[in-house]
Amino acid sequence: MKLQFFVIAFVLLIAGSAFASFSATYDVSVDTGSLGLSGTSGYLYLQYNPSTSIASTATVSNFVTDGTLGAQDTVHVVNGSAVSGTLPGAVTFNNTNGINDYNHAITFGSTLNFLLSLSSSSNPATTSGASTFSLGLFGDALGATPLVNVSNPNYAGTAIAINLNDNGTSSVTQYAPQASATPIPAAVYLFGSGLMGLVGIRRKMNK
Amino acid sequence: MVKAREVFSNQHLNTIEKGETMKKILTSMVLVLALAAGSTTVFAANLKWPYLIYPGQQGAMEVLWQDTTTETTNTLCWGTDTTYSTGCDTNDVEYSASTHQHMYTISGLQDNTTYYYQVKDATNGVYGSGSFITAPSANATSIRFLGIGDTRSYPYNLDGVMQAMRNFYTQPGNADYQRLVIHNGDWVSSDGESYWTSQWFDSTKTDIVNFTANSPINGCEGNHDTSGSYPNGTSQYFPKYFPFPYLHATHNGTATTFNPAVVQTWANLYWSFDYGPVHFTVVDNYSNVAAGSAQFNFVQADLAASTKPWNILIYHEPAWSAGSDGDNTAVRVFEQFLGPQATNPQNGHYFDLVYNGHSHNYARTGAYSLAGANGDTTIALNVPHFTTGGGGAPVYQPDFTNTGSYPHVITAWPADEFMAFDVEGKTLTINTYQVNGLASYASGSVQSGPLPVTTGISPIEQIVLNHFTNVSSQVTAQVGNIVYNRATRTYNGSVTITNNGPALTGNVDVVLDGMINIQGIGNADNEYSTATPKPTSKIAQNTNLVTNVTLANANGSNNGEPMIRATTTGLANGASVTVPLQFSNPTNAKFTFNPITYQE
Repeated sequence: MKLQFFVIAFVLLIAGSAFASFSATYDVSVDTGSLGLSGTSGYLYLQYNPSTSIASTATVSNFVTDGTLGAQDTVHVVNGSAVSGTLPGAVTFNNTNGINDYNHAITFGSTLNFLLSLSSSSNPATTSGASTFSLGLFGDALGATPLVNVSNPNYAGTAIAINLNDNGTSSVTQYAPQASATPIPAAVYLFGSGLMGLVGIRRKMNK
Repeated sequence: MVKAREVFSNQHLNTIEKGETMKKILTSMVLVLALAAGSTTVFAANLKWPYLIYPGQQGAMEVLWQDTTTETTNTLCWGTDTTYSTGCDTNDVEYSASTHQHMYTISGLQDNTTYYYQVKDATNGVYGSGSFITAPSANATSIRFLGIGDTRSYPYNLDGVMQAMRNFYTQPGNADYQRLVIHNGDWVSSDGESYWTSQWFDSTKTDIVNFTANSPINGCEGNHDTSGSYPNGTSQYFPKYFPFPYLHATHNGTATTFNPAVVQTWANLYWSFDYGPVHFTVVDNYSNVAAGSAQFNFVQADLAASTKPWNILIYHEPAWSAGSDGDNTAVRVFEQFLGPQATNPQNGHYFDLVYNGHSHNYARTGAYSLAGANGDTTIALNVPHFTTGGGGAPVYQPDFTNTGSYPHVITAWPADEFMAFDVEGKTLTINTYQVNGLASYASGSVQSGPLPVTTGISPIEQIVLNHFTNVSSQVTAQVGNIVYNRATRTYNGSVTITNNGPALTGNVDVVLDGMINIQGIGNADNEYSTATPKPTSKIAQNTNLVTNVTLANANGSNNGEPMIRATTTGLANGASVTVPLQFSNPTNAKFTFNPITYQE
């Protein structure tokens, strides 16, 4: 029976790979405790912006924090029309507009963590563009009070940026050393997803 | 006897009586002083005051004038100051005795030197005086000159445009622009003696008198300077008054040595000349240009043989314009001139720009890529095609749509205007200026009374062309980190250049291809627009270009596209450099671009 599950998981892995022509998944963490933000009220500001004509999506999932999420702010975003979902649930960004942003109130704890999945249904191209997911930490809804990377005039408030490049690669730029993004190999991610799905099915069947 | 200075003084007294502002009075006083510094004096016996053409010979300048039967012996003297002591010609150099047409080529002049000249008659006294700057040495790497076109029909407008051009080169730092003017045709409204007399050689138009006495004007004929139609157009009076070295002229279909004294139907009036680092090829739009024709073969061979780094193709009717006169499809045959000796390193073409008129407005047409040209393979990519038709003729409204008869329009503007060209080594900077204060003259409705007093110039656009080496094939460029900053309302990003080939040295630049950022655009002045509603942007629609996003930290441009310096110290093999990019994107529109890497 166990072998059967592994075969099914492998098939799901292959199938998943075929549907996404190029993709990347990251485990994103911010050590907000080291930043001295524990107990501080502020906002998580997420963006997914293209410098490419290749359509792609970014999905934030498995959001976990020991802080306290407040309400989503839909007022102080530039263009949220291509963004769906609400934290702590999954939030999906399409790179449809020049900017696709999401703002959410939070009382920071010592850490926050989520999975970021970047995916394009196109084939890798020879063009030089990318779509960039970024996480910003601000003290106010407007984005006037950056909490990290304060002295960088262009990227003030930005903790980390993750690019899905047109050529099928991805890259990370850390603007705050307390923020990290660890790539999860696609095989592991899909295999794990498949396994989790199968575990779920098995439990349902047992019941 | 009417002195130019007196004409101006009287005009300005009238202006004062009409209660014009003190600013205009002061402007007028400056003009009078400026004219006094280099004025020419027009006598009744002088039908056409002394004017200049550059005959294409190093160390030479051609002075032309016409007087009447009261003449005795004409004398032309010249020198490096107003004592005119370097040389004189006293041989009464008439090239047409019947019409007392005079022409004399002063030769043996020093390169790049200001000379003064005076023409006088033993009986009638001084006909006129002026000055000129000789051509720079043949190996010069920098040069400046002006451009004008479609000066026909309304001499009041032309007087105003030339007033503005003279004001421009008398500004501090601009003196070098006096040295040469290129003209793209339609000098007057019809190829007849009376039209030349009333529109180009009217002695009451003192700004025209002074401008043409102090700057040589070289150019081509236009349809209004021609009789008949393509490919059998001919001209009689244009070559009489502008007898450029037409080495291939024909008469009645037969090769005939050009003689400006013989007023007859001339055709094939194409020619070329070198000037410092620039080679100009002047096309006759109205003689055969078809592949295999004598003119086609000449133009192709002439461009291929050019030893100059910058090459400019001049003809009247544009291959592509913004209208409203129709585009000329015959001349598109020149767009395919490619070759290993091509001077334009960006596209392998022999010429860097095309200079046209015909439609009475300013327009820049072109395409940066085949996709941007919507698949039109007939246009030379990355070659700007300029229409500068606002030299005095009634202003036409351009077609900004790119959807009808006028494709490939990038920028356009309806105005009286002129252009200024500045070559500095590998860089050619082209500025186009609207002449302000001519609104009531622009349609031709006002052509009487005092001459216009222009009120300065406004930039239409600035285009910079660079002869840098495209090294994109040996580098990898990756754009990323596009993050919006809500505090500064800017989009910030970066491009990382990795050199996979031989070491690059010195300055390395990145051009954001597909995006146009035009200096000077945005200062819209609608005073000459007849359209409803009036245009508010000089950038055409449907360009396939990103027109609403500006690279805020650009430190240069190339053919209207923004450019940023990646490094000043080269890039070793395997090395990378990340260049920050900051964009202003007020509409928050989605934008893309293609980074092209150049080594200077």
